[in-house]
Amino acid sequence: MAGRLPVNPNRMELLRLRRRLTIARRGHKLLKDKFDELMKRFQKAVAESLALREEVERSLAEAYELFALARSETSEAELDEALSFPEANAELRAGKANVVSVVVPELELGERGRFDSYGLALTPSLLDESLAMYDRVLPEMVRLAASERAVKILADEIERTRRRVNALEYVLIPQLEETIRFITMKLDEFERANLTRLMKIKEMVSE
Amino acid sequence: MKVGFIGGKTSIIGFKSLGLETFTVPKPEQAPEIWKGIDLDRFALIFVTEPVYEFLAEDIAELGESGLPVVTVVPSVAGSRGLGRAEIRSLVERATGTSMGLAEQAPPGGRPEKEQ
Repeated sequence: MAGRLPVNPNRMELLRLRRRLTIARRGHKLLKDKFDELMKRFQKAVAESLALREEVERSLAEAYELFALARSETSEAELDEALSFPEANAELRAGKANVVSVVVPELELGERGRFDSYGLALTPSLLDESLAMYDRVLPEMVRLAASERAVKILADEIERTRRRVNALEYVLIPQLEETIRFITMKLDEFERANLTRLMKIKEMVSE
Repeated sequence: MKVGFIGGKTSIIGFKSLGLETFTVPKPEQAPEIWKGIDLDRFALIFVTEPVYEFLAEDIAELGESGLPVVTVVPSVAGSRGLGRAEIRSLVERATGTSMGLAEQAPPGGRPEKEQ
């Protein structure tokens, strides 16, 4: 599918194309290296975020269960009241990290304060336990969020890089090579035509 | 910046006491309405439970992937349906062209009942 570029077969074009070919090859190599590195990071990020997700889902299921038990030991209104005015604070600091010139977000939980700011008299102790569990899961959940986002961004970048690598490898470079071959053949042909012409003229002159 | 949590009441109410800003979705179908009412600029991270995510997938996709807030799916009280895992798997497939050995697998601790 490569085909050749529409150019005039002359020495100027030939030199220009050769230069372009060198640049294309160097670009291809660089992109390929970037692609390999991205792939390596991607695999690591995927493994990490899958492990985190499993961990979070397991802990969360346990916490939910405890919470459901706590809920069954108290009335809806009491529970609502206990949880509706939190003293704790979940502030996030959002930063940016650079992975092979791809920007991925970094999330960090700030100071959180106490979560058990409700009256202890009206709530079952199971509630404390389940909330303590939530409190432990939360940082993991935040890490999971950042990790999954990084996987998403890396996946996008990999797709883009692969497209560029392929465009160079299967379209531009073959096209340039084909055109260079075409011009070289044309120039050789002119050379031969010129040679035979000279020989013919010499023959005519010497007669 | 704040952390948000959208989901059914049972799933999210515990997180309220941790200081997360919670948005109760009485029925998953109502999620898009509630989503529209949220001031997204204040949040760095929003958790969404799986049943709610199914109704919000389009709105969330509109957010794009480069900026904030980051939206993350977590299981609801009804147990995990493996949505998060499935999403990672589809990303891996898109990026590498293969599923890299991440075969279909039942999520841990999943219970099939619906939430609430």
